[in-house]
Amino acid sequence: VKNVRVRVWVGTLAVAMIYVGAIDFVDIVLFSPRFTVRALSLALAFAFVQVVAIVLFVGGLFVRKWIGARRERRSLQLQRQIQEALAGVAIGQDELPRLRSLMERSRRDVEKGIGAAVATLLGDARTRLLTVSSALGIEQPDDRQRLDALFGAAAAGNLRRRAVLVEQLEHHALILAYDQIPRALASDDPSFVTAALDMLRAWKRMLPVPDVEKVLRHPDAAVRIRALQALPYVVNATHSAVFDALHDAHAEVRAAAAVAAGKLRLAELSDALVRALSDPARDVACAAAFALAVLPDGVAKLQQAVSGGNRPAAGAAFEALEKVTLGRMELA
Amino acid sequence: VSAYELFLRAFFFAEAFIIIYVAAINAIYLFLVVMGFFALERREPVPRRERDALLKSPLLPPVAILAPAYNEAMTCRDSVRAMLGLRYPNHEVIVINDGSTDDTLQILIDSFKLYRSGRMPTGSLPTKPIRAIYESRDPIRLIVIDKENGGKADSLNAGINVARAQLVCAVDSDSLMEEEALLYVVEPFLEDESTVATGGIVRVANGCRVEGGRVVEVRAPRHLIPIFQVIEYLRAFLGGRVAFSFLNSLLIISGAFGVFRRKAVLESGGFLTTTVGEDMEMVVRLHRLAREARRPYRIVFVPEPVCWTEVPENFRILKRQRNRWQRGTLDTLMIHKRMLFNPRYGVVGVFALPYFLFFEMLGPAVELTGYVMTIAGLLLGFIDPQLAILFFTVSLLFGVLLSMSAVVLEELTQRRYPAPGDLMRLFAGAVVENVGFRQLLMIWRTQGLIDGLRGKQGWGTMERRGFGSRP
Repeated sequence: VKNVRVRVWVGTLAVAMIYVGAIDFVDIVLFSPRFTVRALSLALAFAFVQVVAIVLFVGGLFVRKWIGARRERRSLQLQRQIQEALAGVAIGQDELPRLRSLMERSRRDVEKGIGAAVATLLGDARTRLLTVSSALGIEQPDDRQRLDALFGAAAAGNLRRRAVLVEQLEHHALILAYDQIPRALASDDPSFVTAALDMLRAWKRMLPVPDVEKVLRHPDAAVRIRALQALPYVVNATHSAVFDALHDAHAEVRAAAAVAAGKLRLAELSDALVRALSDPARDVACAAAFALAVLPDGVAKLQQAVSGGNRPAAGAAFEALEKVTLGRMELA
Repeated sequence: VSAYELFLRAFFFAEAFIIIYVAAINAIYLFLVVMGFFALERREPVPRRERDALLKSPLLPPVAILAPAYNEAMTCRDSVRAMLGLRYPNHEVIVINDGSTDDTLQILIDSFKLYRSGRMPTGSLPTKPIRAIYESRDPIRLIVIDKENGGKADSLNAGINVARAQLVCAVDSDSLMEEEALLYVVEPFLEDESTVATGGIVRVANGCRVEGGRVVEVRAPRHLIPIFQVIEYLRAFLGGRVAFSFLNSLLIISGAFGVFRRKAVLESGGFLTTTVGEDMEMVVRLHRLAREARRPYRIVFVPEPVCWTEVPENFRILKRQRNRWQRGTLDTLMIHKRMLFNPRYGVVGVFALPYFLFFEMLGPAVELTGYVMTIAGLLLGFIDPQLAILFFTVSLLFGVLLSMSAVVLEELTQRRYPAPGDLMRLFAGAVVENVGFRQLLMIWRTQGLIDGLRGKQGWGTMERRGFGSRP
């Protein structure tokens, strides 16, 4: 990000300097010797540079458009040939000379093509591709390295990168749950902890990750919220941690705890959820009401809350009851 | 020294000041356009595969689309359908019927099988009384709030109170949204969790082929007035806003399409109901609060087109619109005047706000004064005609260069006008708009400034056709 910012600044300042320099240069060379009034010569130089800039803009645009289209056509053609050669390798043909000649034209495209093919193929076809890849001098990481790299990219990247990679990682969820995820959860860096929790939440698979409960006591409220969101997908999650979270100082943590209680169907927490209906934060009250609505004796407790004297609690309870009655809990 | 000579000296001093002022405006604008170009060039396009993966991801935050509606009976059904049909895994639509006097509410009730719901507002922003909240019996996420008339800002506040999603997206109900608009504007929230607001490009829909509430074919408008506005929008969005966003000093997120972190808006006290520039005021307030609290934050402009709006095709409505925008800018600057030149507010205080004060707010008045003085000077023989013509030419060429840059920027980065004829039309418009149209806008904006200083309030008569959003 820093590099990008520096490049934008450098580019902008360079153009500004060229622009001012061009006006000065044109003024000195072309107009100053002919016009004695300084303002007039400067204005003419200015106008001259404007006209040249406009012509360059429009001309450059069309040239660039033409070059871009030509390059795109060539690249498409090359990619098609690479695909054909790789398909040949996959079915056992000798395509090495052809791939070598394609590599001379664009090493990057061949590397990309082989990388994508190795990632999607299995069995003999994949072995043949790996052999050709090493003959071409392109090193392919093994599965373990690949998985480590993918997980590393997802854990170290931002939420966007994680959201993109999470689907690919899901195929290896069980392996990751025994190794990389616990390591990330034990990390001192909150962003690694958050990343691991995000993955658990996104996969929505019941996994044996006992350390999630420990993270519920993390000093960072954002991490605690993520942990509560991931908790329903952890095998043997206990109610005590959620109970404590229902009394957290942060309203968002309390709301997340109420949601987790509902998802985990923690009937032991129904009394605590009834108390949460009167929480000063309305989001917490609503979350508690929706959680109660899915617990075994929750509907009766919601009905009691509706007829009770506490108006916000009654409002939240009424809304949850309405959603249950209309069968709209999924959309709530 | 005679009085006449003193007058002449004062005249030339004022004229020189105005020339330097106008040159400074244009130079800074050109600088912003160049910066915008480099910032856009460095931006890597999101591959289709990645976008598809994102659209399936459960990690995307929920978004509530807030669509205030006032007498939208003609279009509300199609608009709501288009909003519900946006490609995003987790969004709900909240229509706020702002005391419409036509059948807007009844049409929504009948079309989407609405029932009176017990949904509880969880936010506590003050608003006009809510009469009822409706939800659909169908498996769609649609909520309709029926409230007493209070204006757009009041409606948005009511919507924020009722919404429960982390992000709220304020839209104009007559805007046409891109199918993946929400994904584009949510991306900065995923990239940096300190992001509090994002906005995207609002494009001109005049001339485009529209089907089922979506723009299906992009064409340049046939008439001159909307063509000029296409160029103006491109210049404002691709040049100015990209650069301001790069400097984290973006002051305007268009009211037609902007996404905000709900928590941040609630903490800031919601949209201000006493100004016509509630979109700009909200963004400036978010800057102010974050900088006062010394919190890291980002307000980001997304260069991808997110929605299309119909711009005025006649001068009467255009004049009213520009007058309102100018008053909105003035309001915001007056409300947040203590941020001006204040280094405590970083680049917002020392660059963005002064830029808006001197160039966006006072600029038109100063430039107009320059035109009047030069013409008067010519007629009275104070100024050499050749020199006057030269300065007019320079000013014109600078304007043409800026407008052309915007079209070039569009073609280099977005390429939304595939037909070569359209591109030529835009280039022609970039030249012609500098002769007459720009000067006309200058007059209207100056009038807006005067109206604002006189305390004129209100949006004027609402007319659906031709009502656009601030570029």
